[in-house]
Amino acid sequence: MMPPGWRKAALATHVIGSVGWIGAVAGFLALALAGTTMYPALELMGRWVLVPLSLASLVSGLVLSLGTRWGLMRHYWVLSKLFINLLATAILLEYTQTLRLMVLSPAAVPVMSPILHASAALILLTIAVILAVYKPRGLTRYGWRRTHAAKGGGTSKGAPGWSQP
Amino acid sequence: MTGMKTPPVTPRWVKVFGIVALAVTVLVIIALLTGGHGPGRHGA
Repeated sequence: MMPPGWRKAALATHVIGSVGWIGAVAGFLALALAGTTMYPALELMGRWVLVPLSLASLVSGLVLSLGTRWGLMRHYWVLSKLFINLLATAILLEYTQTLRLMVLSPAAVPVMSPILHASAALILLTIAVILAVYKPRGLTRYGWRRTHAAKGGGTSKGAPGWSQP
Repeated sequence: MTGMKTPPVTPRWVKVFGIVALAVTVLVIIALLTGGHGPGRHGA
C-alpha cells in the first residue's frame, strides 16, 4: 500500500487529469463547432492538452488502484473505468494523426469528425466520473476470492477508507 | 452476503456495461479494419 502522502498526490493528479480532460474536451467541442478555421487550435489542443491530461489520468488511475486496497481487478467499477480510460486514450492517440491532417488539408476531414469524436469522448468520460463518484457495488470473482481469503470466509461490503475519483 | 461460499452474482449494471462496451469495441475495430475510418481515410 502507498504511504498516505503519495496516495493523496496520486489522487490529486488523477482528479486534475480526469476532470481537466473532460473540461478540455468540452472546450475542444466548442472550437470544433466553430468550424474549419479552428482546426489549428484543435490540433494544438489535442497535442498539448488532451493527450497529456489523458495520460495523466490513465497513469495516476493505475497507480491509485494498484497502490491501494481498491485494486485494479477487484471491483467492476474500477475495471469499467479502466476500460473507458484505455479506450478513450487509444482513440485520442489515433485521432492526433487526423488532427494533423486537419491542419494540412482541412477539406480531407469531414466537419462533423471532430464534433462526433469530442461528443463521444464527453459521454465516455462523464460515465467514468459517474462510476467514480457512485462506485456501484460489485466484486469481480478475483476480488471476491481475495476478500474472502483476507476475511477468513466472509466478504467485505465496506469500501477502503478513501475516495477515488 | 457475508459468509457466502459462492461468488456473488454479477450485477445487472455490469452486464449492461459489458454488452455496450463490447458493441462499441467491435464497431471501432470494424471501422478501422474496413478502412472507412481513421486518419487519411476521412472523406474517402
